[in-house]
This record gives sequence, C-alpha cells and structure tokens, in this order.
Amino acid sequence: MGGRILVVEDDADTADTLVQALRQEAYTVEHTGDGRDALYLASSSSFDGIVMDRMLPGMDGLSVLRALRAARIETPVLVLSALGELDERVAGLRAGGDDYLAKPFAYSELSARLANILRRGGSGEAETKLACGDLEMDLLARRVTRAGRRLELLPREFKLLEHLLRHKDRVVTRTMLLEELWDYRFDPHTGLIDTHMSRLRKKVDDGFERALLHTVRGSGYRISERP
Amino acid sequence: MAVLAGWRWPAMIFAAALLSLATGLVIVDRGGEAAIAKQQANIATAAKDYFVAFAREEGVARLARVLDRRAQLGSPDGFRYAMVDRSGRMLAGADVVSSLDAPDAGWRTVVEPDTRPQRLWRVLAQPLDSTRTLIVAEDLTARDGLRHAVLRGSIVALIITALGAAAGAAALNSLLMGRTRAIAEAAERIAAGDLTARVGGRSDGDAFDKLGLAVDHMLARIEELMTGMRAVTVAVAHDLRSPLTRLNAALQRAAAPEADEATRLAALDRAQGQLEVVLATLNALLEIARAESGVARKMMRRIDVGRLALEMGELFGPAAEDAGQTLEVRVDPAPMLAWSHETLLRQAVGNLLHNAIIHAGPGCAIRLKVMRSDDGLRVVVADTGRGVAAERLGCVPERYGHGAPDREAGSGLGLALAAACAKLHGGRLVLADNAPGLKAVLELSGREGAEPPLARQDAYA
Repeated sequence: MGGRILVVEDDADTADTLVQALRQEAYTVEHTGDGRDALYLASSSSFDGIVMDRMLPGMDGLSVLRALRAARIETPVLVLSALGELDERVAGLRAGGDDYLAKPFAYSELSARLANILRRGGSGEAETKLACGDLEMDLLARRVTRAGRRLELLPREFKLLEHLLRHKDRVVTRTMLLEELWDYRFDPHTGLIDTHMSRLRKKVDDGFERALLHTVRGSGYRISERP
Repeated sequence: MAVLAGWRWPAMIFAAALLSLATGLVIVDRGGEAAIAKQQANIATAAKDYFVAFAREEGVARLARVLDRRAQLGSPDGFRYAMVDRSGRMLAGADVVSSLDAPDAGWRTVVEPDTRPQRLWRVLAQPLDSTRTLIVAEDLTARDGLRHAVLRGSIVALIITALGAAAGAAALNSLLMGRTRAIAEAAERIAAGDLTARVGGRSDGDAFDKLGLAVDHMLARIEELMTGMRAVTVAVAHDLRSPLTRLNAALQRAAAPEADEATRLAALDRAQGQLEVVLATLNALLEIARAESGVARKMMRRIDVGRLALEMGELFGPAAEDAGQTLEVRVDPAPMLAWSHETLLRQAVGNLLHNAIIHAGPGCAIRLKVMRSDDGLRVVVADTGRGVAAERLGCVPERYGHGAPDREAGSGLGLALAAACAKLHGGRLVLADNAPGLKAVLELSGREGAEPPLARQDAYA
C-alpha cells in the first residue's frame, strides 16, 4: 500500500501497537500524543492520512480537525473515540472527519477503513461501469453479467456487490457494510452480513471456476481476481 | 422548638403591621388637627367680620346687647364672644373672656388661669373703636376632647382588629403546619432511606393535596430510577460474567503449553467472539443510558420511517429466511414522517426483528408494519410464533434489568433499548398478543421534543 500516515494518539500502548502494525503494512508513520503538535505537523508537512484520537492533551481531536479543515487542509482523517456513542460519530463526521471508529477496535477494522479513506481522495468522476475480472456491472442499466452471462440480483444484492466492487481488492469489514449500506451501527449478533454474503456468493461464484468473493478471516470480505 | 420557630416570622410580620397602623393613625390625627384648626379659624374670622359689620350698621351699644344675649344662650360650639375695654375689663358677652390675657389685636393662644388641668383658648381680638375691642375666643380643650374621642375610638377599633388578625393568623399557621407536616414527614423518611414514603392527597383536593400528589409522583420516579439503577448493576454484572468467564477459559486454553497451533487459534477465535459479546453489551448499555438521559434529543430530525422500515426489512430478510421464516414489510408508499433519532430507531427496530427471528421459531411469518396513529406513528413487529407468557405482555419497562422480559440471548437488552428509544420519541414499547404469536408495538409521537428530558447531564459523558 504505502503512504505517509500521522498517528495522533496519547495512549502509549495503543499508539505503539498502531504504529508497528501500520509500518508492517509498509506505511511511513509519524506519531504524536499532543493535539497542538498534531496541528503543527499536519499543517506543515503533507500526509496521505491521519488517524486521530478524540481525547488528547493540549487540544482535543475535534478542534484539531476543525482547525485543519478551516485551513483548507483536506488530508483524510479517521477519528477514534471511546466506545459506543452513536451521536459522537455524527459529531466527528460533522467536524470534517472522513470516517469514525469507536475504541476498542480490531486492527483489521482500522486498516480496512484507513485504506478506504486513503483511496477515496482520488476518484471524483461518476462511474457508470464497474468490473472485476469477468464480472461486470452496468450502473445505468442496473445489470450484472459474469462471463457474458446475466446474473439476476435482488436490489439488496446489487447494492452489496456495487459496494464491494467500488472497493475492489480491498477488505470491506462487516461493520463498514452495515454502516454504509443500511446505516446500522452495530450488530450484536454479527450474522446479518454473512447471510447476505452467502446469497450473493451463490449467484456470483457458483458454477464458475474461479471465486471472486473472498472471506478475509477475522475482518471481512474482499472482491478480487487474486485469491 | 419547631413550633416557636414557626411562630417567629408571623409574630414579626404582625408587629410590623401594628406599627405601621399606629403610625398611620398618628398621621391622620395630626392631619385632622390641622384641618379642624383651619376650619375653626375660618368660623372665628367670619363671626368677627359679622359682628364688626353689625357694630358699624347698628352701633356698638346694640352689639353689646346682642353679645350679652348670645352669652345667655350658652355656647354649644365652643365659641365665646365678648366686648372689653382698653384695660381688658368686660363690657358685654361671656364672662370667661375677662380672665383671658387677650391681645390688643389679632390671634393668640392663651391659658385660662387657675384651671386644673390646663384649659387653653384660641383668642381673636378686633378693636371696634378707640376704647372697645371685640373678642372671639374658642375653647381648645373642647376641640381636643372631640379629637381625643375620635382617636380613642380608632385605637380601640385597631386593637380589636389586631386581635382578630392575630387569631386568624394563628389559625392559618396551625392549618399550614398541619397540611405541610405530611410532606415534611415523608421527606424525613426518604432522607432516612425509606424510598417508599409517600405524602398522599386527594386528586380533587386543594393546593396542598395537589402538591402532595406532585411530590408523590416525583418520589415514585426517583424510587423507580434508584431501584432501576440497582437492578442494572446486578443485570450488567450478570450479563458480563458469563462471556468474561468463557473468555478467560478460552485464553487459558490458548496459553496452555500442551496446546497445538490449531487448538490455540480456535481458542483465540472463541476469545475474540466472547470479547465482542462484552463490547456489544457495553455498547447497548451506553446507548440506553444516552437515550434515557435525553442527550440524544439534539440528534433528532424529521425522517421517513416508512423508508427506514423497508431498509431494515431488507437487512433482516435473509436472516429470517435462514431461520425458516418469512419477513414481510408493509408501509404506505407515501412518506411517513416522524421526528426521530434515526440511528437509535434503526437499532430499536433491528432489535425487535432480531428477537422475532430468534424466538418465533421456524415456519412462522414475521410482519413489519408502520402505521399512522392519532398522534404519530407506530412501528409494529408481529410474528406468528409461540409468543410469550401472558404476564410478560403489556408495556415494557424502559429500564434494563427492571423485570426485563427475556434475559436469554441478550434480548432483555434489546427490548430495553427499544423501550428507551420509544420513550425518547415520546411513546412506549408495548408487547401484545398477536393470537398466535407476539406483537411488539413501538410508539413514536410525531411531535417535536415530545418528552422533556429528565436529566440534563449525561452520566456517561
């Protein structure tokens, strides 16, 4: 992947784990535990993305975020905060965050979301066709074909497949799908997305030699030609 | 002691009222005195002018006879008339004037000699010619007598009024003490830890009955919250204990030296699953707390509940199919708007659907409906499953752990969240018999800010 990431997190343990894990994914990582330093770093040198905790000494995360956006620094920001506050998420996004993740989180979740917002910056043009290997989706005609054969998808399956295709080759977690497709914050029973996915998989992969939908152990799903 | 303290204020107010009344009386008396003095002076001047004119027309000698006759008739109005010569000797009129030290001309107030108590006269002298002077004298003592009689009467009236007022105040005070005693006693019992204490009062009664009932209402709510809080603590401990115990066991298995790689990974997987249960439980608790504290109110806006229901039906459809059930969503095609906290409402509807899928059993039909009611909307999740025992039907308590219907599989929490959500929307969550099956009705009042927040501060912030 690569890219320069600024980690703003005052808890040393969390920060260490985060920095090490990001470096393993070939990111270049800088770290600070102070809100003012974060504002200075983010405005004086260019990063590809920022992971920012909400509770910081010096200056709180949302204020840093607002200050950055006011200065027209549009670096994608993933906001981290304490567990389980639906409204906090909205507050974080309103302050200019690109995504929001509640602590405690699995690293795989953070990684998937970070990759997602890093990519988001690039393509602004509206696509009309999406594809992965021999799977093609026509967004205007709302038609899906694989190897030239028409696939009959329900609207909910179309929606799901479209989301996966837009994040081709990247991991999309179950919570990301729940949030973005159904605006549903948490599924304490965790089976919902799997039930959708098994239906979609039957239609997309059954009867074809190579599977395109992959389950990524411990984090989510990925659509890709590579296994 | 309490009684004495209770008397202090009324007594002071009473004394102040008396003092101001007395002051008023003095002012009125003084004012009256001045007015009477002016009036009497006018009478004296008028009489003098009349007699002077009479003397000029009829002669001084005839005036002398008139004054004598006047003196014989007596003086009911307190005025005396006389004529004296230069040395002050009586020529005609009332005898008493001869003893007074009259001025040569004009006004003077003089003391009548050899009188006990002193008798005062107001004297007006007017020379008639070179030797004779007309004297008009007013008996001030008579005038004061009148004034004092009025004053005495007023004071007696004032004292009677004051005594009456004191008696009234005492009666009112003891009535107030009697009526507020119940409130004070209830408050003391509450302070001593007895949360069941109540004031009591008739619903058709006076202001005190109404106050008592209002206080009782407040106490009931406080008791409910306090017991709720205790129940929550116990319930949270219960809900967290099992997954934490399983988590601990899984970690121990993973850490065991004899465990092979596959066992270890499986154990870690299991540990992660249990951890997610713990987090989901905590998450739900925090959401319930936020919904109940009313801080979530600021996130509310007008949304289309029909569309929300369709999306939730879409999300849960496959899960219902996997459980061997059918899930049908019925809403009007026209937007069904309500003032709502969308995320929380989605969660609440999701919880109700999840409960139906888990508990209704295979082969049954689940129906999600949004209906218009008198003052808003109703979201109904009905199933044709085995239902619940009759005693669990009715209004779901908003508090988690407060007799929440079903503790297995965490559905107690789910229902509690849905109930808290309904309350935030100014409604209730009601469980009803669907004959067969269960019907959960989530009421949404369409009104903005339907329920005033009970607590402003967020205990979890």
